[in-house]
Amino acid sequence: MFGIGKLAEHNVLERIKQGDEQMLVHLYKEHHTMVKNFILKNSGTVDAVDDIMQDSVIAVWKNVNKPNFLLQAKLSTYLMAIAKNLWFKELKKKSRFKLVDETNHLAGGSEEMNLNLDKALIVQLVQDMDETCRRLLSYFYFDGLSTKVIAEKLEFANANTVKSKKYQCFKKLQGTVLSKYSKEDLL
Amino acid sequence: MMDENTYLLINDYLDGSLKGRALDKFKTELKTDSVLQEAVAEQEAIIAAIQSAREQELKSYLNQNLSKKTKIFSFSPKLKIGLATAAAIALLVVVFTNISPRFADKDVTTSEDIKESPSEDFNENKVPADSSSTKEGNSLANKETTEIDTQTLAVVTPQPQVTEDVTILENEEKFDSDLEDKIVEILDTAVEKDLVEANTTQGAKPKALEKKEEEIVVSDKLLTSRFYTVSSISPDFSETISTETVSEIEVATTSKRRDRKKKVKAASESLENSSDKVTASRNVNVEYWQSVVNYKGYKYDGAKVQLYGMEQSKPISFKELDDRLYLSLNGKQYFLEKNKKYNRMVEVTNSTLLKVLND
Repeated sequence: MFGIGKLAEHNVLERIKQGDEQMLVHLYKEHHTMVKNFILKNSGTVDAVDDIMQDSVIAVWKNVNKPNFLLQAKLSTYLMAIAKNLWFKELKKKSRFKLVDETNHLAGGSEEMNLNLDKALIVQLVQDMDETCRRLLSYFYFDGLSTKVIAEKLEFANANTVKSKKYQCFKKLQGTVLSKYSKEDLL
Repeated sequence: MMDENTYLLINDYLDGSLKGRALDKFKTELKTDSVLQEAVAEQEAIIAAIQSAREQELKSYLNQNLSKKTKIFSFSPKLKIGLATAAAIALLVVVFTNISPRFADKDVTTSEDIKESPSEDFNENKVPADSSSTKEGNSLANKETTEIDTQTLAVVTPQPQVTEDVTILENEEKFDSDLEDKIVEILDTAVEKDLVEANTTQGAKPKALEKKEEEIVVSDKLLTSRFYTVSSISPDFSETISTETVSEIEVATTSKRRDRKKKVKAASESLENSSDKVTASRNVNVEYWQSVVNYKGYKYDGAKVQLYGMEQSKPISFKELDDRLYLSLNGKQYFLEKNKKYNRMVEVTNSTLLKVLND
């Protein structure tokens, strides 16, 4: 709002496709009030607003970079729809969590918690990777950027270089993970 | 460890880009091949971890950029209107505070200009920076005093403008009061004159009125009025002219110029030789006047001659020739022109006319 000002919708989308992370902040600021009003009216809190807002913006970020993405409404409407879905999902999770919590009290098991802990450890290994590999894999697997854009952002020669470098980085990460965990832990 | 082709194939399967026969073939293999199942599970777990890591990275990026300093202020429409109003008021206040001192300065300077005494300007010969009307007035006053100084070559302490104005006003008042007094006096005398005339008819004239009458001698004074006999002169040269002209016409017929000269000559001779007929026809009223401004001359309207600055003792006589009045005074002849103006005495210089008038 302050730094970028009002941007045309197509400009925002184009800059997201180019991997401009400033657009995340722009989307967040532009739609914060709208999402906040909705969540607070629907038995939410300010902390929940921030979480939902972040998830919504990141979801838009991911979806825009998908190859079959087609925006058929205003971007604000699209973002608001995502936020609503996320909030309703969160509300369902809360109600479900209550039931699960009650049954856990009765049964006493927590296998799911162990799996989440393992995932967090792998995430830590990803974060410990070298900068180029981490960014390359992130751009490809999360942001969904094309190899051409990744090549531009990481200053590679061309898209083929990105493809070969991606395999090398993935193999490296896989080796690190397998060195820490057994295959059975990942299954 | 899997090879690159397997890695790419699993990638396509996981992101949903593997389709058709390739997808069916892969699914068939996945059901039967336990190694492939392990590879898919590994890759899926690692990709999920990469995505989680990226998600956390982006969230931390958002948190960094949405820190407390740059926290979003969502302006509601009411707040926007309020802020706009406050900004407008602040702008007006700033503009007013910037402009108002200029007006105040102007007022101060003019009041100072008025307060400045002219004497300071005269002594210090200060040239005022502003060209206000007050200062122009002062500079004009300054010029006037310097002129006086140069003429008298004396150190004159200039009088303040206010006292000058007061004296002028006093003089004006005095003048007005004098004028009023005079008008009253004139009116009084006019009334008193009527009373005097009335009293003179009765033979009594109060002394106080006489005194006032002497005071208002402002016009010309009639000294005396006399009647003189006007001698009309009508020279009879008709015969001589006619006989001589006839003889001249008979003698000289050749040259017209010569005829003219001869005619003139004959006329003058006849005038000289003619015997004038003098007949006393009428009397003329002659008034001797004393002019206030010592004017010397006459006024002749056809019936009355008013003589200004003439001694009454000196003998005068009047003659009339061709309806023209001539005054004889001290052996000189003066032509009196008939009009309603004051005229100066014009002496007759024509010898022929003088001869006629003197005879």
